[in-house]
Amino acid sequence: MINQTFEELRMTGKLPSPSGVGMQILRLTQGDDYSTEEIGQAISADSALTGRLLKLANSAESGSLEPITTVAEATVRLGIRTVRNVALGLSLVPSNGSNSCAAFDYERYWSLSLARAVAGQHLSSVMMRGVPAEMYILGLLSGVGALALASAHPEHYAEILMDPNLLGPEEVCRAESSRFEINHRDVAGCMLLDWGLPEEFARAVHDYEACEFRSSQKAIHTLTELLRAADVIARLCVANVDTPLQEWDQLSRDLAQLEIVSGFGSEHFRRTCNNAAEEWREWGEILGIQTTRQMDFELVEELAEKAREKARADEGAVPRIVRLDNSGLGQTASGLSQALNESSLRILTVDDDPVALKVLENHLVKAGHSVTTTTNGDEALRHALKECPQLVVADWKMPGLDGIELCRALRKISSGQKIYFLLLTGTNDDESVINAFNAGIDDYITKPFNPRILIARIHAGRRIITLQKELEREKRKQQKQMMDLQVVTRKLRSAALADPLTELPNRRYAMKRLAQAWESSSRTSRPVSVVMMDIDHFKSVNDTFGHDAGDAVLKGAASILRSSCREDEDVCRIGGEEFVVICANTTAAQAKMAADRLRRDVENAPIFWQGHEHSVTMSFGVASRTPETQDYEGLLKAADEAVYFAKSSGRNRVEVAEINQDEFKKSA
Amino acid sequence: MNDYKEIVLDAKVIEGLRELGGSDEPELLMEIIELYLDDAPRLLTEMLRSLDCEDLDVMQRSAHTLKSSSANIGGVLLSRVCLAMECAAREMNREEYRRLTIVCQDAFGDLKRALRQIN
Repeated sequence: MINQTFEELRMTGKLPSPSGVGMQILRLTQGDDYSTEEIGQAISADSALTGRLLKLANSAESGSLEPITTVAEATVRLGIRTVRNVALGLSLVPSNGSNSCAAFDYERYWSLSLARAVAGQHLSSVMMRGVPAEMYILGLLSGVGALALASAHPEHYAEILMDPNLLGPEEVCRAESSRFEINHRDVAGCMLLDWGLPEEFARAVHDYEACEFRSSQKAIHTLTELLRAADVIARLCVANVDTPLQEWDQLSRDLAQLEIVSGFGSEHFRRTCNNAAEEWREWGEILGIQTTRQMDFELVEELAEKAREKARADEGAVPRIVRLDNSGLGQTASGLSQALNESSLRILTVDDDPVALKVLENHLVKAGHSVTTTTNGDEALRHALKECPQLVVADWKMPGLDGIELCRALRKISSGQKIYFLLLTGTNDDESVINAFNAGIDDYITKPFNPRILIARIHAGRRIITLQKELEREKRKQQKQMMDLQVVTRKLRSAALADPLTELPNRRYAMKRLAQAWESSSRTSRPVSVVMMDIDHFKSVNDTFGHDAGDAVLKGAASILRSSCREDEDVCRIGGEEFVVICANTTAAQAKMAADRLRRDVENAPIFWQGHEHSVTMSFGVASRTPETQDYEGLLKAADEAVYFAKSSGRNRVEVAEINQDEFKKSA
Repeated sequence: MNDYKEIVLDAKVIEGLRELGGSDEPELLMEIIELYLDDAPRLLTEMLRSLDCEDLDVMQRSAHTLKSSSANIGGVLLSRVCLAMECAAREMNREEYRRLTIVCQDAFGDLKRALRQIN
């Protein structure tokens, strides 16, 4: 049934599909007898795809290895199957072409997919599960079902997307099925199979949304679970002011759970998320996909807290008593109409003795707090993770997870560290009490307790909780200031390296870049070249028409050079009318070709100034490193001399430096 | 005789619970008594069973729980017997524990009768 519906969908010809090279790879790999060479050739034909594949291959591997610079090397390192899958996936990205469905947020779609891709890749490499490069592709394609439905049924799908009553992926799936007889999960699975991607890939994109982590530690094993984990981090990356409140709540719960099942511990977990976000921004620049600011865990907690408060207010029963039945689902017993105020705390109590629990609950509710009762440690832990109470009152001796173990479990995760933990104990002996404090409790009360002492201790706890809140607020403020400062610093730094008139990198940047390229050339014995150039008759333009005209010519020339340069060629303005292009990994002959291209483009593109067309030419000098070249300054000097020669030989021409003449004579 | 009654059930504790409910929740006291009477027999059974299978951990834990639960409701005598049982279990003295289960059952019978008279 689903297959048939998918077949019909495919026949419409509106589904996203791989671009030219992608199709070719698909065709080549339909059988089992494709060769590494054929695939390599197909990929190399597309330079953008090659660049992305190499970037991925390098970032997915550990830094200690030599960088991968060719498709063939990537194939050796990653294996042919991975390279094929990666190339196929990457070839899909730019083909999102027609944004036909008005309600579909294409920008967010690609941003989120990219975040899943990078987070998946990152997790895979940190946890050593799966193949990082393949996780990248899996993440990138994880939402393709929705994209496909939006492409095939733009109007009808818009209605589903705009329906405010559909909350969460499950309801969306149901609506899709009743409308199109297929939902986005099935479509995604079918598409991946259709493209010949492995079955585990198809299963992962089909299942990840509905995947629940098993609550034990280190529970991330399958591709589906990895993808689900990546999805949580991705949602953290793209969350912004427009994200609805209830999504923040869900996000905060998912993050808390992921933190546990990842087995990372809170600090490592946050670092992992931050690193993933950093890579996400880098990739966003490469692929032209929008990404956002620094992520902020505190903000997630703050907004989730707001969402929960709102949900509680909507229920109209504050404070409330929630009793948990054995399935762990909360049931609200409303009736108390006391308003929630500053002094009210959300308290979770746990005791296996129903009498003690009942008495405790009544004392606390009477003091104005909202109380949830649980009858064993496991239930209490589950509830604490879900609802983040401010204070926990726990009995020590319980079957299963006891009070101390509960406290230890909570202290292991970041949301549990903030909870004020009050232990009820029958014994008062020093050793036990010290043990309890070592496990992380904040205070204890001996049973049977005097109710007034209980309330007094709760109030002491509240003071700590309030102080902690203020501290956090202060910390957030400081973090924000620091982030602002970082932005300013970054701006200053880029200003220091950029030329304000042409917005090209300046001399300082050029020297840095050249030093790097020189270093890398020394290390790898690969060639390095520079092309220097100078605007012809610039002085006379300045003298005849004034400095404004001169500036216009400089800007015009800069913009022609910038658009004429390829991605790996950095053009910088290093002096008045002097520019340089640093060509890493480039021989003299290749650099000469680049210079010829630039010269032609400058000559053919007119520069406009005050409504007049001016044509400008430039003289070029090319120099490439030879065994005799002492240092990069020597290289620059050689190129400069070549420019001088080009000028004196009639301008608007390219000359190769004296030091490289032999090579050209040989090849001529 | 009055002294024995006070030891079986501490009237001050009962009054405290009645006050806790107050006029907002007048049925709280009865609710708590019901909770207790539902739960205590389970713990008594657990004590006997754990003694039979010589499970010292459960012997100790069930005595501990009944001890604090009974104290909450004013069952002073039963609570003290349970404390003695908890100690016996900790010292691995099964004979003492077995002897005390009989005392414990009697004390619970008396407490139950006393609680039933409250209204």
